[in-house]
Amino acid sequence: MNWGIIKKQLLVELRTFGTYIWLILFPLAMIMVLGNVLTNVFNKTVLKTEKVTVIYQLPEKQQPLAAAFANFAQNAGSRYITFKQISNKEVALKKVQRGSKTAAAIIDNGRIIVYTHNPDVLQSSILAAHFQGFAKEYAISATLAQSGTATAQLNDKVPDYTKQVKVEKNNGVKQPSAFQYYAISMITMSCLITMIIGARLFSMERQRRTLARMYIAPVPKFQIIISNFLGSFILRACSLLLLMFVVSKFFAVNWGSNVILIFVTFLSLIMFAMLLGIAIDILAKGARGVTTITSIVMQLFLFFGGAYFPVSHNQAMFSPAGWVLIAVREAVYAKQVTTIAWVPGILLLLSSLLVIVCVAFSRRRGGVA
Amino acid sequence: MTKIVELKELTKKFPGGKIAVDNLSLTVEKGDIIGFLGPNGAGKSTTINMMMDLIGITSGTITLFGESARHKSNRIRSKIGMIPQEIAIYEDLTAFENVAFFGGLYGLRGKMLKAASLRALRYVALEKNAKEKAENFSGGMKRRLNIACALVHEPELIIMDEPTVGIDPQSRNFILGVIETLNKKGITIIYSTHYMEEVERISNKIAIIDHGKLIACGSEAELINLVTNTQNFSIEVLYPEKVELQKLRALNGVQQVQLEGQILHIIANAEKNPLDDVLKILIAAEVAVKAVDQDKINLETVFLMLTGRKLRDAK
Ligand SMILES: Nc1ncnc2c1ncn2[C@@H]1O[C@H](COP(=O)(O)OP(=O)(O)O)[C@@H](O)[C@H]1O
Ligand SMILES: [Mg+2]
Repeated sequence: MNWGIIKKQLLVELRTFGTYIWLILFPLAMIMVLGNVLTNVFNKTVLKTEKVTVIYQLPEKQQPLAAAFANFAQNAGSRYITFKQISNKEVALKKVQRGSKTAAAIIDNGRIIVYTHNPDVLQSSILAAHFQGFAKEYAISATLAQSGTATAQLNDKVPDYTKQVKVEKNNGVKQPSAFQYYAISMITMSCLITMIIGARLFSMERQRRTLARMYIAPVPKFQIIISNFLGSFILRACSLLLLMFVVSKFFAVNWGSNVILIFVTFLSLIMFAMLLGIAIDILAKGARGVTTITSIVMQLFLFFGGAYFPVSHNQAMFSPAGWVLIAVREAVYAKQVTTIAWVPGILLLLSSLLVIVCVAFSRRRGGVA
Repeated sequence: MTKIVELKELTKKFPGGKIAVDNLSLTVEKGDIIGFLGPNGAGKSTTINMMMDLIGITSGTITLFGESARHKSNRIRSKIGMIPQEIAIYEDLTAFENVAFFGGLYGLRGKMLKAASLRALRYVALEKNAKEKAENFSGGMKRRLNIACALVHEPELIIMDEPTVGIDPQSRNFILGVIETLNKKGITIIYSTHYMEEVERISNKIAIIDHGKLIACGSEAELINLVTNTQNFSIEVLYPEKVELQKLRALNGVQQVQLEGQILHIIANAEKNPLDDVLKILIAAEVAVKAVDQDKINLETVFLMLTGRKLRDAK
């Protein structure tokens, strides 16, 4: 690591007006525009089409858990979720499998088994939040089981049956406002935009011939590459921090208790995106049009990842931006950390592969002068 | 004499097949100001880039300070300052920050770095502008800063690739003065240019390069001696379109003929003076001869003699 190069990169970028536009002003403007313009569309389409429908079957004999759940189900229905009792378990499972209902909950012997079939991110967040809310209330742990897989066991320690079930509307679920939805999207986008910054990081130095000046100095090549990258990366980390702070302060985005994990997830996306940009630039040997190619790749990632409008879970899996969006939405809406636990890991793994690609290919001489 | 640079049969063939440097051999000794003189595309920058290990060598060897330039050691790197043909500075940084950044790459720190940076800026008379951003500089000032960035680590060898391209005569004079000052301190200088007047003024040794080949190398006097048996005429005519170049070139004793506007440049063999025949042909063609001059033999004549082209026409 070379502090001189890191400092130089920080200074250069801090004095470039574009830095502020792309990393702070643009995402904020987009959140505002999309949030305002699309609030209606968002409320009508996104949540209407994705309304969560739960059917549940109660045991024939009276059981405390069953009574409590029935009570919960009657009270928990809302714009976003409905609960309906059904008597036949087989019919219930079929309905879930066909996709006409989001989930089926079978209550028996002090256990709740929930069957689902490919719910999307928001649906599973809402679902999880409701069942976790209920389970918390009863100190049992609910597990979501994919239909067709082995049934999940519920812990049947149910201590206080006498306690009156009181369920508030929207229990545990943060209503996804359009602002919040697009704040997450736009921050993801601003992380991905660093791909272009990565692609231009060295091509700019090459064009200005300052790269040649660095390469002739008694500093190892990989140190030059890493330090230049770090200088730029540190700045991205700071602007991410600022952006997350601003949206939580002024756009009512509540990051919740997993805020550090969320930050790390975004940060790993920045690292991945920048290195991908650098790798594309190096592989293309600084050919013109690299920025265009990079922008197209970036837009595809955003499109498939569901930054602009909600997409299915499967589609989102095609894009690193999708992983991050799913992970962060789960963490924010459902306070779930199952996805967010692996996304930064995978992104860091991919990033280290990209570092190897960059160093290996930049060793080949001929691209500098 | 200590050999600072030794190029042996250096060749560069680019991937497209273009041979930019062709079997070039030359030696630079301590204290030299050697001018690489050649038109655009001659292969000067390519030669310099190979010396700096910025592009690979197709064949041949480069020895710098007695060591092979392949896998150039940090010791050698620290002894060389290179000024790229393009202005390679950070426009967003101040003059001082630019110089200090490059100085830092050579291991200078703290007070040492600050002093060295200011000294480098003083060389090019920019110390008063140390705190100004480079983007606000004029073209000449940027060129000077470009030079200062290569001086900060006090190299023993400075390689300059066309450091005066596109600037006003005053700035050019200033830069040539800087080069002379540096040389007086014992610094060896390699200087590439396509301006003959520059090498005539500052170089003690001139390497004429054309189409990647070393055409001739030596002091100005040595080079002019190469064409000592020649005479150099320029004839001004009123109707240049009527000049029959082929006939003139066919004359016994005529070595080179070039038409430039209304001026006809002729290099001729001094013994078989063909001026009389030349004039006969011109008069027969009714070109209306206005004046005839005998020119001094200079590097331009040498270049024309050796390559058949004028420096500034050459492509
Ligand atoms: N990267 C390259 N690929 C192919 N040809 C090149 C490259 N760089 C330079 N050339 C060619 O090599 C020749 C010499 O170029 P250069 O060394 O820049 O000349 P000079 O510096 O004397 O003007 C030119 O014909 C130029 O077009
Ligand atoms: Mg050149």
